[in-house]
Amino acid sequence: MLFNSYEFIFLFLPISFIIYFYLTSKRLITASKGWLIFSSLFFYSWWNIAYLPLILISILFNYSLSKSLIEFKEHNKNYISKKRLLQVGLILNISLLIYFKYMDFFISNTNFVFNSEISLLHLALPLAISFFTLQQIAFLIDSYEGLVEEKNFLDYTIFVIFFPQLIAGPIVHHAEMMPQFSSRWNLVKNYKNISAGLFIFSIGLFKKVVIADAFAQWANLGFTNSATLNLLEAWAASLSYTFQMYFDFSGYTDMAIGAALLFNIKLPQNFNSPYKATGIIDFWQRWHITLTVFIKTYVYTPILRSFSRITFTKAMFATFAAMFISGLWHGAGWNYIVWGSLHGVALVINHHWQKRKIKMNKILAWFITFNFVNVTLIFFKASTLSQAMEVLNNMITGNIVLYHSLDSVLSFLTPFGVHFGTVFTHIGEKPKTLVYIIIAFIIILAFKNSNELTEKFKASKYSLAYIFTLFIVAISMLSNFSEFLYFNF
Amino acid sequence: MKNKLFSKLFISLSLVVMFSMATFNYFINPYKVFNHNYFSSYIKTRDHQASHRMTLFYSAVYQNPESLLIGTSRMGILPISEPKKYMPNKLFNMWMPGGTIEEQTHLIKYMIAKFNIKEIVWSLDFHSFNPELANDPNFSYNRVDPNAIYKDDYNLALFGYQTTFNSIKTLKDNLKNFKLNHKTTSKQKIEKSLKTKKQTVTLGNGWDEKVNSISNDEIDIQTKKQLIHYPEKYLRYRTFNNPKSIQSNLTKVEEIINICKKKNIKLHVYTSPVSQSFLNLYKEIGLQNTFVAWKKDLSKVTSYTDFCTLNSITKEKYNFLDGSHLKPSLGYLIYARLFHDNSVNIPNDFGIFIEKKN
Repeated sequence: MLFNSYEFIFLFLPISFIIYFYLTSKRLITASKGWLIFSSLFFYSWWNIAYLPLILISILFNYSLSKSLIEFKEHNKNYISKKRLLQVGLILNISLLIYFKYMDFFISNTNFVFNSEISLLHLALPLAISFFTLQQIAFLIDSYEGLVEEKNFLDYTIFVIFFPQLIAGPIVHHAEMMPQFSSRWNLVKNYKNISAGLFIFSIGLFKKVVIADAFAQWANLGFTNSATLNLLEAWAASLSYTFQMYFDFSGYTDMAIGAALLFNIKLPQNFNSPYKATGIIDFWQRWHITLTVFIKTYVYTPILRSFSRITFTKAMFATFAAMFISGLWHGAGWNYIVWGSLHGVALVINHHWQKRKIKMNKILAWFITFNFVNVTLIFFKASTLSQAMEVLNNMITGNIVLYHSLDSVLSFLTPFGVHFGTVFTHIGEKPKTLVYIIIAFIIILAFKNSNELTEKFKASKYSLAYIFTLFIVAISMLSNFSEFLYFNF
Repeated sequence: MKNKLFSKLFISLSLVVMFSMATFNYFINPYKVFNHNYFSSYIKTRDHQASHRMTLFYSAVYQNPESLLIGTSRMGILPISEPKKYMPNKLFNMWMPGGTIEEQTHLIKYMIAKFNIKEIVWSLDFHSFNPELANDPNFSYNRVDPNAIYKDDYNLALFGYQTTFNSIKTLKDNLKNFKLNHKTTSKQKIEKSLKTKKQTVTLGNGWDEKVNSISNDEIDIQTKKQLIHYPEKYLRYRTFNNPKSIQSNLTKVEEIINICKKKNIKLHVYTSPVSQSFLNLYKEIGLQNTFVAWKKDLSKVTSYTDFCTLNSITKEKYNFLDGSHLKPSLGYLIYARLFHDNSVNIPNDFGIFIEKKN
């Protein structure tokens, strides 16, 4: 079930909410948690019930293992050491991810290298596998490290499967989630949270339906016609995807945060105006923040700790390796690896600059950062590396075509290879693409982000009029709903 | 304002707006998605569609057809009155502009699964076999899946500003007609009706009758436009010049042939005629080998009547509206050939029967 669907907004969410708080009002706490789990499982199964056993087995296995790790007592009678127990858990979790997500990638590369003909498995990627696997790996590691105190099975299950964050994050940490599920303060309807939740949910819905979906059509057409784009079309296509990605993913996160707030659960912030970043380090502190924290805690730090002596060079190696893995986590394809590696290299360069205390003009720094993000996202979007190169090539060497109407004023540019005609033919012949791009730049640079707005939110007739307008506009454009980009990861 | 009041006001206002919108759209039913007859004496025309494919689908479904015409706009433009002479039982023209073989075969399978279909006329276009030709964005696999619970069209038809605007437009159109019928004298009625007829009398297939009286100059302009637009939209892809590229779509056609055989459904397959300039175009852009292979391989799958040749009709460019769509006034020739009507004088070389080669 999609957040941006009528059945979610008008049926699933209200029913889940009403029954949950009815049960809590009757002090049926276990039943209310059971209801939350049931509704989350229903939400998950809406797409494909076939993968329901997989997530249930994964939860049961990881919960049992983590319980063993928490209660593990070192003595001679143990058949297996605590460290080995953790390793088994990690290997099984990662194997599950590799099997479903990366098997075909490995097979096709093996076929390419060894000229073999091993058949591809064509497995459908179970929804949310990347997210629930990461969260449970973190829980296992922390159980091993002795950092886990909560071990209630219902709370653990809700932590993994709570529907607002289940499909595409934010990637939540047990330490910030499980206490919220077990807190009695959260079992009472809180109208401050409800109004704030409705507020941020409406903003997210608007971002997704009105802004991201408009950019999606131009980005999709542009990348489909990658070989024939002119220079302006290539830039419009890549910028459309860059904006689509932000408004889509941050819109989803806003809706997740809003839906969770209705249940008095505070999900972590995932975006903090990332396109205002003036450096790539700054960017990763603002973009998909929960993934950055996860990668830093559970990938970067262990790599660094594996060295006997930490040096700057080794830290940079760990940075690059972490971003390489982050790229691979996003998808089984060379384009994702290239994307992750480019960001790894950029982070290393940025760290070098910081170490040498090189200062740059802020506007220039923003310009370089934004364009770097824009260019690297081409690899993220493209289905093949050659398609990415076609878009990139046309962004540099594509034909310069300007509007017919400019012919009389700018005809002196014709000898320099400038043509006059229809500019956006290959991305839908919509001049409004340009208008949308300008508006998007204004929104990302001049406006406060949804978290900042929610923090300052106060119930008033103005805020009511504001979100009611956003909500009704978004709802009336919902009919052609589309999936969120991060559902594919 | 208190948070409790804020939340309650927001939820109630949203529900009131949504419920009003859905009720209004349900009763006006601009896309004919709901099978009801409320206000049928007031709302008689519904000309503001969300997509041709959607309205056509529900119109067909609610008619419970027994005979079908399947094809693209080349079939859609031909008046349904002609095939009705030969297939009088609940005939429906399910044409889809630019329909791919994928779309057509899914639709045929759905109609066969859901209704008691006895006879089908299937018009095949060469370009529909291009494997890289994308399905229309308004085509939905779920809509034509007999086992799926499909709700997207109902959502679209109930909610959304576009649907509401279309409901308002539909209401306005019908109010105009209502006024015309009730507030004018008999003389005014006749005059207005004549005026209206001149503008809107259709062939029962969505195409204006004025296309039959199109001037030769206009045909020249349209043909020139089509010769640029058509190859860009339908033919210029990376693999279509390889004759083997049509195989995947031929397999889909074969599947339909087998289903029809199994279900004892009479199937008439034909290749739609295009003008000489279009036949030359295939050669000019390197598709001749694929074109030849298309006909040859099609004969391995089924018998068919081949109108897509250089013949007395296709040699004359003014027999077509734009080089690729036969004039509706000549549609009778195709059906007369398909149904072996000896009372009609058909040029001998128009429509050659190709027997299936085993």
